[in-house]
Amino acid sequence: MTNKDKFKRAFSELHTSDAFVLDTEEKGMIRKMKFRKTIIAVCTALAVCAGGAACYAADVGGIQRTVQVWFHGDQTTATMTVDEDNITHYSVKDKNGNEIISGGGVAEDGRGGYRPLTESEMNEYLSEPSTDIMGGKLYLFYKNQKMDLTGKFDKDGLCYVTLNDRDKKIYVTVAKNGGLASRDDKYAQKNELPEEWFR
Amino acid sequence: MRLPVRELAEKYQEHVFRAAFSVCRNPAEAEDIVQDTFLKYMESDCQFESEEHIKAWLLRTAINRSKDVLKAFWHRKRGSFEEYMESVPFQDPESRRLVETVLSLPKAYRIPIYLFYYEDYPVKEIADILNLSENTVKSRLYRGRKMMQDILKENWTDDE
Repeated sequence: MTNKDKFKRAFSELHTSDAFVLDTEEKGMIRKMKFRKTIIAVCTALAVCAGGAACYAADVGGIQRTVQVWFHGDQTTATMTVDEDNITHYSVKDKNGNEIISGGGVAEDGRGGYRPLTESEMNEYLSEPSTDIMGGKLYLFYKNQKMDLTGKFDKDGLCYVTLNDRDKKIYVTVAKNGGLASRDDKYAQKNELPEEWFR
Repeated sequence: MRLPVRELAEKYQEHVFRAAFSVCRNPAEAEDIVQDTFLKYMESDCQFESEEHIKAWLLRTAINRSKDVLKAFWHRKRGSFEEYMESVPFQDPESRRLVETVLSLPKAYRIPIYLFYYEDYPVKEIADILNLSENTVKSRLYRGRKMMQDILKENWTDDE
């Protein structure tokens, strides 16, 4: 068997999941907006040193550091590590040591490889609005802000929130399932949002 | 020429997924990239010379989008790669090891290797898809093969 034969046999086993259905309808502006699927929103309710709070990182050995972050509107400590692939990972644990949120990222180094994310790059990506369900209630989080959206949805199942951050405004549209679209010019409308948010 | 998206998806959806997964190594991201890629096809008004040309465009788009995903923040747990690989019913351990070996190579090498061995593209077309010179592609294939050989040893034939 040639290398190509082995490749074809092996890689042919990789498939999209059974749940994946390609949507072949036009979605217009969706590509131009930032969306948060519910499952991702749970993993992004984290903002690094937002709202002008003092930011510090303390070495805890090797390339692992601790960083003060906003999580669910409160400041807490995240552990940042860089693995052998130069990927930066963060992890936040609750008081019992259980991981409640984690993620990571890389950046192109301009030479064909990639490098770990810096704290400021983490800040850029993590300080976006996010949603999470706590005690059966859906909350919107942004830096040190926490908003209970219960009872604030319109007949279309959407809630519109304007976030003020110093000199900029962020227009956030939240669906009842926790899906979130944010723009800096206007609110995203229902016909611009994924249909699966309303099923 | 243009072909209907449904027809293209039927033929090439899994190819696009494999190419995307080979770059980003995250099945959920790769599925999003499949959606993005076909959406981009729908939005574009490109005219193509042939079906092969369309396929190459889809793969190029998916690979570029996958690179963008790597540049951006990775919000999903990294364990999903291992979990996905565990769920794949490979026919034999050798196939699993081959895929894991390819995906462990640096991105610069695993993409040309994938396009050459799985998609059967010659060096010139790989260079077109990746926007690289032919010499760069040859060099990356050479180094990628060496890495494969070092890891897989007798399970990799010297086919240069």
